[in-house]
Amino acid sequence: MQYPSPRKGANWGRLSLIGAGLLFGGTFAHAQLANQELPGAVGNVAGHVASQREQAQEAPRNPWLEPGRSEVIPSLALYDNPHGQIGILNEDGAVQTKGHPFFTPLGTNGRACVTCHQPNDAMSISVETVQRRWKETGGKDPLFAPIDGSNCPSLPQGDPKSHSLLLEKGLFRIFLPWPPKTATGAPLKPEFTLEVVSDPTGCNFDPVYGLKGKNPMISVFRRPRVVGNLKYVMQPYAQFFNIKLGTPLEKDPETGVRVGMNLLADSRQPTLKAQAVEAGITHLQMTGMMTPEQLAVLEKFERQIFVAQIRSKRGGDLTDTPAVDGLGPAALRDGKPGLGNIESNPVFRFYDAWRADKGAKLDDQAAFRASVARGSDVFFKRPFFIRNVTYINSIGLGNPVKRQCATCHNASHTGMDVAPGWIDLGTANLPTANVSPDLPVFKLTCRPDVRPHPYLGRVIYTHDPGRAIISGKCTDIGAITMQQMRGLSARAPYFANGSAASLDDLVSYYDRRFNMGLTSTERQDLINFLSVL
Amino acid sequence: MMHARRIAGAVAMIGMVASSAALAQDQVKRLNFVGCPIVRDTEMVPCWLAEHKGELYYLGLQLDLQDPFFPPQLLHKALVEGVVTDKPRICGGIVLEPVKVATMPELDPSCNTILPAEGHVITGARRGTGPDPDVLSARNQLRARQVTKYDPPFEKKTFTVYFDFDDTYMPTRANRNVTEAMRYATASKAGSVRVIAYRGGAKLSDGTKLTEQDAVIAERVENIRFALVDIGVPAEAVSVEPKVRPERYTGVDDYKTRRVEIVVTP
Ligand code: HEC
Ligand code: HEC
Repeated sequence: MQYPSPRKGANWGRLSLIGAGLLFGGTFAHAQLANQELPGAVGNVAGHVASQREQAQEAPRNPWLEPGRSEVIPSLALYDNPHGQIGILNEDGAVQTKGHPFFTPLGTNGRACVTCHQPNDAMSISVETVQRRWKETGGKDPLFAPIDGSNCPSLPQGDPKSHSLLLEKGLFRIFLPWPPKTATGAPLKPEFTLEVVSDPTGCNFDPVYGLKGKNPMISVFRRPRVVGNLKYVMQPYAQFFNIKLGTPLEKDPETGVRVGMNLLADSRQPTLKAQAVEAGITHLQMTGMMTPEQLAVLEKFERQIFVAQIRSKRGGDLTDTPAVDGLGPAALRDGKPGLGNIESNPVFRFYDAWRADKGAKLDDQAAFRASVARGSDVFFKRPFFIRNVTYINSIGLGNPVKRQCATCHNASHTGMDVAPGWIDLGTANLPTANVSPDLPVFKLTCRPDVRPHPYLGRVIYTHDPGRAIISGKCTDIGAITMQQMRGLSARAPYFANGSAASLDDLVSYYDRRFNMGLTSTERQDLINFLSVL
Repeated sequence: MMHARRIAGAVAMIGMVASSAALAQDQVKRLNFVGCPIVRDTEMVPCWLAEHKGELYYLGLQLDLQDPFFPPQLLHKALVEGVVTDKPRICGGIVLEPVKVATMPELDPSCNTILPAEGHVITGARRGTGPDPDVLSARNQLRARQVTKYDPPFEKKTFTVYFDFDDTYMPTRANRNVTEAMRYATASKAGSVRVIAYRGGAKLSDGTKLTEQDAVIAERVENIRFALVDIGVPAEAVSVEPKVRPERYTGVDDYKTRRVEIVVTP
């Protein structure tokens, strides 16, 4: 795959930095370096470098960022993906990975945070990358560590069947105590009983790792989430109360400041530090604790990184003229967290510059851009009946409510929900979940004296109880905290349980779930739109 | 499924808070019932009806979380407590006004009807199904930022939080009063903040009496106690009084029985 030079006439400055990248970037040579802050950037490079670059861009490469290596990630790094390129913008300048806690194996299994949060994959990891790593390392990469990189640690490791959920859907095992524990570690009495109906992974039945072990744990399987654009994710959008729950927003245990409650698929951690401590203990299998210094460096790093698609195969440079103002990582760096509205601040900003008159003769790029502009309209304005969704229909909007995608995905720039927290869209619970015979199925039976799940009642079958694993509440069964909608092209599959293999699958889910009756044009416009975010 | 009567032409949508006070109490025809809600897919925004004894009653339009009317939910029966008017039908239904609508907690799969517009037209919706226009969100933001100033002399003051039947959820309009109670308690350095939860009910027009569960009352009182302390009232100032004995409810404004009072004594 090959792109024309992004900005004609501006090649020199850019190429000089690419030269610098080759010198200083180590295995990052594939990243196009496009900023001056790279240490040791050299001046202009000789004329042959442009041709070298072209071939270098064409040759197959390994964009894997190995934990523990010494690399420099430039302040703006670009990586190829099936729809174009992702841009990773480091606001604080180039990042030296050596000794950096995000890139260093801090635990006992050789993994670092970067193992599952790869810049190449929009700071998540795509199933394509997972599969490639398997082939390259014969399944030996720490990515496949038994703890959560296999269906269950007790399975024979190294056999692809034992890693099928990671290899086929990019899913990691998330293991949480059952019955749940409160924030202080006290046992919490759940409102329902939980049985395992079936579990192809075997892990929920496992004598050591399962629900009946000495240390009883439930295993669910989830996708990593984007580590970037976090000022939007972490922002508390209300002063005191969580609009959805009607109870106060949780607080940062260290500072007492209210938090956004949008972190992780079940909002189980209030802050990035708390999340990092958990990640260290679970994913990295650290025996000790992270130091306060490591936590501070991690949080600072995570908060300065911005992630978005920056080039589109068909749409070209997404930050080029005529300008639309919501695309590319710089738009995220410069944007402010807030609620989107129709007049001055649509969720993913304006696409008017890309609109085309009906019947106008357009080249492929202009046609694609016009489709993106229409796709933003579908996302933002096309109404349909949203039905039977806990924490949308159940909080005063009525069931059904005739609205659009942006009703739930309403936060500026990320498309999260400013009314924070979890929503039962139907992706985890049966019968609305995509057919997933590879995932465990749990049967949850609510006590007669508690408020039932608003649309499924008192007996619920689910692949992932979601927030209910933390809260023990029937109302929360299958409710998943949505993740940001950025960098989608670099990190298929989608939804927390990886049940939508492609953007096309994702749109099909909504079309079916809400009877949207999308036309083929609307569908393609929506997919094109999502692909440039 | 019953069919709604057709109405030709446009029907004006009248504000929900029009005065029924003009009518003397005893002339007022109240209708309280539990029935299936029905949504009609009208242009602009859907309108909400409920069915009772083969008749359709108009409840309101799909609005926003900032508005007083929260539509009911399909898959649940609705508790409707309203006053029957002789206004022209809206959306095919007899207009109840004022009306209180609450969602009954248990699932009822038989309530699952979406009617087509069938020529019914509603007017007066402030916004369509699209995103909030700037004007509205700006206004809401302004309203959210508006802070009542509490100045001395301070005296005993009660803040009331209303709940839907058997429900513990506090939407913004409800928890706003918790915030105000906290602010008043803080401004007046209140020594006592009593949280009194009443056990309410609903008397239906057919004489049926529904009483709220006492577990719900316990949860409401604890939620509000927790919230008050969490947002800044010293824990030692707060006391709770869940009232187990049901309030008297008569079929007139029964929603007032389903409440928690926060009594702040400086
Ligand atoms: C083995 C793979 C793996 C490793 C290693 C890993 N993560 Fe993650 N990360 C995940 C998964 C899976 C999730 C989603 C979990 C969930 O939703 O319950 C996640 C979620 C997150 C999120 C939440 C983002 C959001 O928007 O909700 C952050 C932040 C994060 N990880 C940071 C880190 C840090 C910091 C480290 C290193 C200390 C790390 N991760 C190591 C797999 C991994
Ligand atoms: C009723 C609320 C609601 C509506 C309406 C809605 N979504 Fe979502 N969306 C969610 C929730 C909740 C999730 C997270 C679900 C999960 O991960 O299982 C989500 C996830 C997503 C994701 C993220 C996938 C990922 O893995 O990162 C995309 C993209 C998305 N939705 C697109 C859309 C589009 C396009 C529409 C309109 C056709 C739409 N959504 C309508 C609630 C909604």
